Amino acid sequence: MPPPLTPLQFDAVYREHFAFVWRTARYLGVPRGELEDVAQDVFLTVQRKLSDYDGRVSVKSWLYGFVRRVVADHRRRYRRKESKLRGAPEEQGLDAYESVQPTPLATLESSEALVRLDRVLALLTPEKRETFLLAELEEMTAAEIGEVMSANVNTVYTRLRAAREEISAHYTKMFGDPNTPGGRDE
Amino acid sequence: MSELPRGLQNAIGASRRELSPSETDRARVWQRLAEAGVQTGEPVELGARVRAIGDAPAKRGGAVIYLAAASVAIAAGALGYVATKRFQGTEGNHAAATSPYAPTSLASVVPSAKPSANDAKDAGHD
Repeated sequence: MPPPLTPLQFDAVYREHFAFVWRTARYLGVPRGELEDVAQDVFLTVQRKLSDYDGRVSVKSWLYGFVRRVVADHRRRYRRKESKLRGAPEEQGLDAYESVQPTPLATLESSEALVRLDRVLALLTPEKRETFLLAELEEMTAAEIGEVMSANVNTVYTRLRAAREEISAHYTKMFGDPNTPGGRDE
Repeated sequence: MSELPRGLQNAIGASRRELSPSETDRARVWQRLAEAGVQTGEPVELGARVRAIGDAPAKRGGAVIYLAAASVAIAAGALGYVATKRFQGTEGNHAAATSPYAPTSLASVVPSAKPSANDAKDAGHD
């Protein structure tokens, strides 16, 4: 019999997972200047849905679902605004947005480590990139990643192994031996 | 699962720090949620952080100076009140009468009914 579920406290969820929400919104390509709006919307949703949490998935996985949805809504609104400004039809804006989506970290600040990692991550498929980011940066378990990506654990392990191998190979090719401090100059 | 090369792990660690929100980011969103009417549970240190940001050092310093000035003004006012009360007492009246800085009163400008020695002398000259 599963242990009784402790009701989630909004303050505790915010305290423990705000950084996770913030970072994942950034991975998903939200510009720095719009992160506050996105984070606010995510936690407004959390507050509304707090009593619905049934403990079947981890809190992180539960939150990640909200982040994805809010980011998608945000993108839609952004595109609508953009297309209105340009006088272009909305659908054209959607297509145009999709075409630039493959680099989720492109809008982030350009510290050297970020730029390098971004360039390497851009070479992965979206599934591998997301799996890698959730595993390495958020330290989520394979089970949690499977929950948020609707994939079984074996698939997650396979994607992660492939992502690591590809990243190591691309990184070495582009920046030199990753075990050498600083790598080599391009 | 295979391990990542150390250099790449360092890059990931650096990226994680770079991507993480600051305490100010955290407090700002918290404040926005409060303004949006989110009912939170018991106050936590995050609320304190929001208050701390509102009480920036310069603002705090200004408040301290204002309070100090207000205290001095109140103390000075109280002392002045006590001094005035004492001044208006019996001894105060005596002092007021003999002081060259005593306020001009009607009694001091009305000539006395009793003629002085000088008045008598002046009358003799006439």
